Formats: sequence, C-alpha cells, structure tokens
Amino acid sequence: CASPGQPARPRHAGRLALRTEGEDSRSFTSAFELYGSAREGRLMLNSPLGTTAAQASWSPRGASLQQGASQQDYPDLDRLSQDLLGETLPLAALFDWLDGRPWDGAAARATADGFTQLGWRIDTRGLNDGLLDMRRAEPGPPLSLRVRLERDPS
Amino acid sequence: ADALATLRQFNQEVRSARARFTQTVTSPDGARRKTSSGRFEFMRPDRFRFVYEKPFEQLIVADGRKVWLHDPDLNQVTVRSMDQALGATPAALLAGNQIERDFELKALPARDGLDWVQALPRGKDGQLRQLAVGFRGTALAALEIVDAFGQRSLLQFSELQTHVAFADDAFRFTPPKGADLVSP
Repeated sequence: CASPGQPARPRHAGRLALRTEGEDSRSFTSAFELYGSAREGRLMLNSPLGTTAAQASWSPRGASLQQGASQQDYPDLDRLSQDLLGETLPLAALFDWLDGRPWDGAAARATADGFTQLGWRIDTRGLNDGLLDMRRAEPGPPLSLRVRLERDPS
Repeated sequence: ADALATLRQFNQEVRSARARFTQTVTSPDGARRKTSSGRFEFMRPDRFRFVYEKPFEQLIVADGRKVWLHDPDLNQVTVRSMDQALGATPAALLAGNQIERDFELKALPARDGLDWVQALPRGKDGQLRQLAVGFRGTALAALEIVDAFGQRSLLQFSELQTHVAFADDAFRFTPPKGADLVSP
C-alpha cells in the first residue's frame, strides 16, 4: 500500500531475470514495479499469478523488506539487495539505467552498445523494444540482469 | 448450491481439466489494473500448466517433481523442486488432492453470480490474506487471491473441459536450446 507522499504510478514496470554464472549459478525471475527514486521509493516483486512475493522500500532513514507477514529492516539498500537477491545490485543506479542513461552518482564511460558504470556493462541497444541487458564481470561471479520494460506502466 | 460440497466433489471427481483464463491484477489502492490471459491445464495430484499468452508469453509447468518457469522474452528458465512449490498454494487448491490437509475450507456467501469457498492456507508464511475459489453451478469459474499487501488477483475461467485425456508428456517441460537453465 502506497505510503503517503509515495507516487501511485510506477516509474518503471516489467519483468527481470537475474542470473549468476559460475559453479553455484543461481537465477531469479520476477515481474516488478519500481516506484519513487533512488532517494525514496519502493520495489515490488510479483509472481506470475499476480501476488506480491516481496516489497522493498527505502528512504534516507534506511531500507526494509516485507515478505508475506514478515518485515526485515536494513541500514541501506545494498544490504537489503544482498539479502533479497543474493547479490548487491546497484538499485539506486537502476532508476537511471532503466531510462537508458548512466546514474549521476558515479563515473560512467560510453561504449558501442551503451555505457559502463559501477563495474556493470549496460547494453541499451534494445531499449526502444523495452529490453535492457546488464552484465557485471567482477567482483565475484559474472552476473547478468535482463529486463523487459512494459510499454506504459499503467 | 453448497459451494463447499461442490469444491470437494470437484476435487474428488475431476481428475483432469483444461480451461482458458483471464487474469486481472488490481493494485492495493485499486488505482491500477493489469490483465493477462492464457490457458490452464491440470492432472491431479501434482501436474499443472499455466500458459500465459497475452500480453506476453510465460509458461509455468509442474511435472510432478519440479516446477519450471519459462520466460521466452528474457530467454530464461527457472526450476525449483515441487515440495517448495505446491503445498498450500493457489495451484494446489485447483490441481492438488490434499485440499483438506493444505487448507481450512469455509463456504462464503454467493457473489458476482458465483458460489464461493474460502481456503485459508494452513501454516503458510502469511503470503496470502485471502484465497477463494468460485463455481457456477458445479463448474469451476474463478480463483481469487488477495496477498498480504492487499493486491488482488482474479482468474476467471471459461471453456472448461473436464476429464481430459492428456498425453503422457503433456506436463513434461524440455528447456529450449540456448535458454539459460538455472535453479535458484
């Protein structure tokens, strides 16, 4: 439920597929809705049947993860992302990446197929079809995050 | 009609079935709706397929041992073992054969022209606030799921065929070549 001051419409919505390669390769696929901004916002992960599997919310005061009836608090989004997805995803930067542009909070370098930032290679060539392919070479096992954005997140 | 008796009869006598469905997910604040549609098939006690066709393709197959999720668009297959998957879930309410063990069942007043049964998952982790199955006469017509955040998902079934003789491999899933196959 949208807490006061939270915009009702998602800034981005679609489906994501997260995959770590290497021997203990793991994957995670989910529909998602991303609200607000890197400073204050919400990420909802939905099952195909439409139920909310998890909701992460964050603000300058900290981050919290709700799954079913349980709620877990974290000092920041990185710690939450590590717990939720088993990886530290740069959720703050993701807002701008999903718009196809680098985050203004760190250095970035343009490449033939998009740009690199925070150790990630962002391929924006499929963006007008709503497709974004993000890969991290290091640290740790190679990680890939593929996103298909909905045309107009209603 | 006594929906509870109808559900128990459906659970006992309809060993397999197929139907089309439309799924409407309404956000907790009721402001936004998302609709999708496809086909649902099952064969008790532990096989089912949700084939989402619109607005995008997605496939969920339970083959009796594992549950496969294939997202062709993202070229990814996720597989997890059955016991984590079925249990007291919406799919089990329709396709399982342990509904008394997995759910606390209670008839609800008729609504929207259907007779409803509420199914409270026993010992589930509080993921679902409400789960109910609706019948038109003795025909399965709807499944309503309200999650812990108040998000509501309504599946409405049509073109129901029961006692379907499925082929042996109807609920087998073979990952397409090139799809990244990984288990969480």
